[in-house]
Amino acid sequence: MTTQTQKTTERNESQLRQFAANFIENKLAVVGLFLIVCVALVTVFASQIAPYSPTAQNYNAVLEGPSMAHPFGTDDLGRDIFSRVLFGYQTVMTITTSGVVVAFILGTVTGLTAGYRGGRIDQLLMRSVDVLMAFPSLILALALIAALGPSKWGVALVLGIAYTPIFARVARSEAVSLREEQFIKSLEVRGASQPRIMFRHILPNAVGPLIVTVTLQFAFGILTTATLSFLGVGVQPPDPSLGRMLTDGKDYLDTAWWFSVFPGIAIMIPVIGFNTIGDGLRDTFDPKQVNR
Amino acid sequence: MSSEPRLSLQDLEVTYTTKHDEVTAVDGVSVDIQSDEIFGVVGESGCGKSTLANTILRLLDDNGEITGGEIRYNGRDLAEMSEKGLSRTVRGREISMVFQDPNTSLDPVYTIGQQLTETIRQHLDVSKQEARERAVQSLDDVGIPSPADRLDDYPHQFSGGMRQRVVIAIALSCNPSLLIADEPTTGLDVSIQAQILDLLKDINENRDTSVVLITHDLGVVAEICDRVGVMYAGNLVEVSPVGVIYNDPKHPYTQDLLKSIPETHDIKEELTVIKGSPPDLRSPPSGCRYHPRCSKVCSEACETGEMPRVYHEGESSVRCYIYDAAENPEYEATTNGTDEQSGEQSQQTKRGEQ
Repeated sequence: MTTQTQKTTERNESQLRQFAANFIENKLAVVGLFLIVCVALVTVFASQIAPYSPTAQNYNAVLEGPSMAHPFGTDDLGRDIFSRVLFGYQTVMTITTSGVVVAFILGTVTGLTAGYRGGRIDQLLMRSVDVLMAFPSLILALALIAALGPSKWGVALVLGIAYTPIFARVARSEAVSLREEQFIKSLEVRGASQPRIMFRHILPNAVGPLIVTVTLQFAFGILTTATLSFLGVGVQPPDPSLGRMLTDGKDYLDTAWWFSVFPGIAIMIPVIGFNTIGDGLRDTFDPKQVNR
Repeated sequence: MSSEPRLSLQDLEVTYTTKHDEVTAVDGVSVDIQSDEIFGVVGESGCGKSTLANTILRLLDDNGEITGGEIRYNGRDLAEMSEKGLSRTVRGREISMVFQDPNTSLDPVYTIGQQLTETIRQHLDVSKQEARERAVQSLDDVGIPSPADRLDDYPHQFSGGMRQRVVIAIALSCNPSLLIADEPTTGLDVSIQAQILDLLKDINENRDTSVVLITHDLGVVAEICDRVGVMYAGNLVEVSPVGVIYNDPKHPYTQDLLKSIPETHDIKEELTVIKGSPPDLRSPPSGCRYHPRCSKVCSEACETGEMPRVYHEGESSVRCYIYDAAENPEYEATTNGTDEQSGEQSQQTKRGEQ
């Protein structure tokens, strides 16, 4: 029994290793992974790394340029921009992660049901998804926030709803092609229940494209969160928010460039990171490259 | 002969509805599957073999529907049963099915052990440990070497023939009383084909499992079947013991089919073929569906009458006007009387061989 379990884990490990080896060959994706790992560490340990409190004002050091004391300079209220960027990451990552998780759950359940059941249920679900998709996600987000009122969790919910159609479409397309596979039919022959087939058999087989979508939606999520804050409808002050810092800094662009440039770069890093990882994963999941 | 048939199809009719037409893919099929036999179903592509197989477990595509008849199994009519009841008590439990292509019949992301135990635990109330033991036993039964070790392997680690064995093991894991095999040997090379056929024969002999074997290969039928049903254009035109099919086929279509088998020991100048192609089932021919290609059209009814009813001729049942005394005056003279006995004899010799 133990030897069997050992064998299984060994084999799973070797498959994982094969996958990792293919992924590592894509240098750009590895850079992306590195960026994301950095961002993740910085986000988790923000309160340990940050030299100042993100909301501590210091009127003796207003709009100071980058220095040893303030690596990214200070803003118009004398707050340390470096510290604010770190805590800004915390906010944006919390919002994006919850948003993508909500979208993943809603979208996957909708898409799998539509794709597997087909027929009228498919029509009904996917047409509703189309309606949702017809709105540009930013307009949809603005409208929803106008209804919900601006708040951190409001933004997360909005992201969740706005990105549901994308997950639904990916999940549906996978389900539609997998439904025709013989092994799904033979599961039906064996009397497996529909939820079981959908979530135990179709979902694991569709996980590749879904993971790629997750990483890409993370990138978009960060951008949208920042955009909403930039427009003033996202995270409300005094919570540090990268988009908010961009807006505040744009008035001082000619005198204090660091005010908006560092938050801007801070937004860019995870977006680039997630995009390259997404592309890398897509290439790795490509069956033509996986040598089994 | 056993008393109660295991599965009994009565006047089964299946219709596919497309945008413009209705196609009756299976029309008036009646047959009893006995509890100890391997029943072969042969016919050309598109004659309704697979539809028939799928109909028994009600696995038709969304546009297919049972429009008439009964599927009697164990005193119940499967055609009337609820989808849920069917999944819980019949599919995979009492009636199992094996498909053509073993390479795609298994879920690539789970080990075969997981897939076996999934089915076992779904239908039988056993613990994980027991299910695992049963799974090992099932793999052992279908002749997979060192089954306990291979339980944790993924489908891609098996060869095609081994995979088909695994598929059969899953199908048999809950001791079904009927196994439907839809072209189980088609994707495999010849030596593996023979092994799989032997396996099916073994299963039929050593367990209380009847087998319905769907195939287009008359060689396969000759090898393992006890009785054979010949399908043409949605009709079951002849049902006979395998000996009768090969030595004294009753229906002109069966006769023509046999003539068109190339023989290696007796090289003919030219291969006999059946002229023409199967009819378009959107508008099937009147009378007997085979009459446009039949070489033995015997009466007007063949061409313009109703579809011929089923005539019993010895141990065979045939849908052909040749066996209707009213339509075919020569009938009495040629075949009556003698046939009944020869049929009996061939059945006895066959049983003796076993």
